[in-house]
Amino acid sequence: MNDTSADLTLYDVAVVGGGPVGLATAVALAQAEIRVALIASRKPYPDNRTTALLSGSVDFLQRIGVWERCEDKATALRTMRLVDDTRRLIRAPEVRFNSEEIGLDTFGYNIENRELLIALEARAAECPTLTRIDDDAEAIDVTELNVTIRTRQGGVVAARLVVGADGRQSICRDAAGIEVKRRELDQAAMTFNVTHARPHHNVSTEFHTPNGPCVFVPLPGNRSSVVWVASPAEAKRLMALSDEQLSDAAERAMHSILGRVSVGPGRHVFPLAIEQPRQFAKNRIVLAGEAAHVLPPIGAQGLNLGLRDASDIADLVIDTMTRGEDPGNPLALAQFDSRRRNDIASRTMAIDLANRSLLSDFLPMQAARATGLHLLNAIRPLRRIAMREGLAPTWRRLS
Amino acid sequence: MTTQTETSHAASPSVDPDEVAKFSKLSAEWWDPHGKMAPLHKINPLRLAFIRDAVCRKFDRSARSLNCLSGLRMLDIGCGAGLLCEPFARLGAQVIGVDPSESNIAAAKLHAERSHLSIDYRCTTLEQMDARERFDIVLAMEVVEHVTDVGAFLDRCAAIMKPSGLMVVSTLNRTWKSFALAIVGAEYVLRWLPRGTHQWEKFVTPEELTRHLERNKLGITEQAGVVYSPFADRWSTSSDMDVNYMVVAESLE
Repeated sequence: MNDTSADLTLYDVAVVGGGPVGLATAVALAQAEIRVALIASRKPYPDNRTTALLSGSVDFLQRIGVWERCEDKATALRTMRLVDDTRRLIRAPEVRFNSEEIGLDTFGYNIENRELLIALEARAAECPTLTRIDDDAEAIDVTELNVTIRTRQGGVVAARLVVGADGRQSICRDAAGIEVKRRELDQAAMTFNVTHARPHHNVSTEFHTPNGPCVFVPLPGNRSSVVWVASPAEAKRLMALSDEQLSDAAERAMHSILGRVSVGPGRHVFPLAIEQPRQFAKNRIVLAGEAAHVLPPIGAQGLNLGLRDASDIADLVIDTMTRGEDPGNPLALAQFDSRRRNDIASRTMAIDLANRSLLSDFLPMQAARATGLHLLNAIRPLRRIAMREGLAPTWRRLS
Repeated sequence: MTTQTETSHAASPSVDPDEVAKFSKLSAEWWDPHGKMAPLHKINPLRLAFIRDAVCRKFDRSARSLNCLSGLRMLDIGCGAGLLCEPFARLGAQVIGVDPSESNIAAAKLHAERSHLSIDYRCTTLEQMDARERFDIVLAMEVVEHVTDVGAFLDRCAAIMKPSGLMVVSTLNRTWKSFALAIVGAEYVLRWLPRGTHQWEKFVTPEELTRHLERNKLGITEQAGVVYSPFADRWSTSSDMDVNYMVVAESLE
């Protein structure tokens, strides 16, 4: 044999990236006894962002044995309140969605990404067919029958399929030859957590301001996580405030509905952009998480979409491999691409539109948005459709 | 590679560089999902799942296991370049692929070697095989419509199968619909297959298949039609067996 990869361990799948999406994909695959290499150096989650896990994500985390490890760190979201704080001529009414209206106990659960990652890492350590390579991928080379990955410390791993869950600057995406459409938004999102005097009663509140949404999502106890979207200049100003000043600003932004607010340690700012790759799978590489979609933080879609990537990719790889087929074969890749395309494209468009309508000073747009929210408020069936679509796309439930 | 396959008449792929290049090209053609064999690649997942499920039921295995065929001896008659052999070898079966075409066998060997799979490919026919060999699973996929004597062929298939074994046969039905779709449609209109690939007169009806199998004390335990939906560009199983169909046969005793 003259194939140099013969003396390497050839994995069925290599997952590049150790964030929640990469870990969840690796665990879901290893649970089906697929030989997976997870290539990512171990490090604690770098910021204090949280995720509102919608019911589909919770179901998936349950199936892969992760939910039971972090359930006690999560807070149920039973009511979602949207408040128009745009101070414009035409304003939308306040809209409240209750999970009971669509026969659900909760819309989902809010959890600190850090806690979710700890639970995923613990579950990953239990999977016998998951090999953790505590190092970062540096170079990726696609050949006809497999992909080789060189790591920073000089290790080499070969796999038949690579899951690129390696974030916005995905080297997997580059290696696959996939181009990205990128649109920088003139907005930044600031994240921090707060404690407040009054209980949140499991209500998340989204204030729609002219700069973008400012969202308070319940955490355990009298705590909430805050995502505050603002102009880059405003975000810079907020970042520079003292804890006390930021506490005041946050309390004003939420109209003191939870009483006195005080910010906890750690705040981060992220420039907002919309990024969409032209394909989601190509040349033995399939993309997941932020390598496959970057969205503004509206309606809790980002990581939920990433967990759907993980779940879909795992399902398709398992289907392919239980037929004995090569998981990186071109037809399987085409199937990954078409399966993810609808979901990601529809979410991206919806969020882009929602964001544009919030930002627009254009009167008809404001009127349309206000009318939309009026209708949602008034017509129960429409409300239910909106709520259900927010949780999982229709085509997914039908299939 | 091991020498277990050297009993065949096929040339070893390492003999002549020109030959290797030729077989390599042929192998690439067979395995290109967008090339000449595109229809076969499209239909393959369906056939793999049908066979796997039948085998798992018969031998009490879990179809979700990645090793569900381990220890089972499987014969694929008319294996081509190994589009069925390789997946089943990955699922743990001990696969023997036979094909009368030397170049197909050379192409199959080359591909299996590059995929690090051990498959016993032989350039031979069912008639020339050692009559004492026995298999748990005998596959005759898209073969009976090409043989000269269907009855004699199925007698041989039955004889080489273990009494506890399973046979899967797929072929084209002899109906006006199959004439329209498989001959006119696939060969002339869509050009999926080269003209003259099939002769409609040689297509086999399920009744004829049943009669030949019953003579060998085998009964059909599962059957499915294979249909194409042009709008979804997808193949799926169906109760409509008028064109392409698959059957599972096993001992009635």
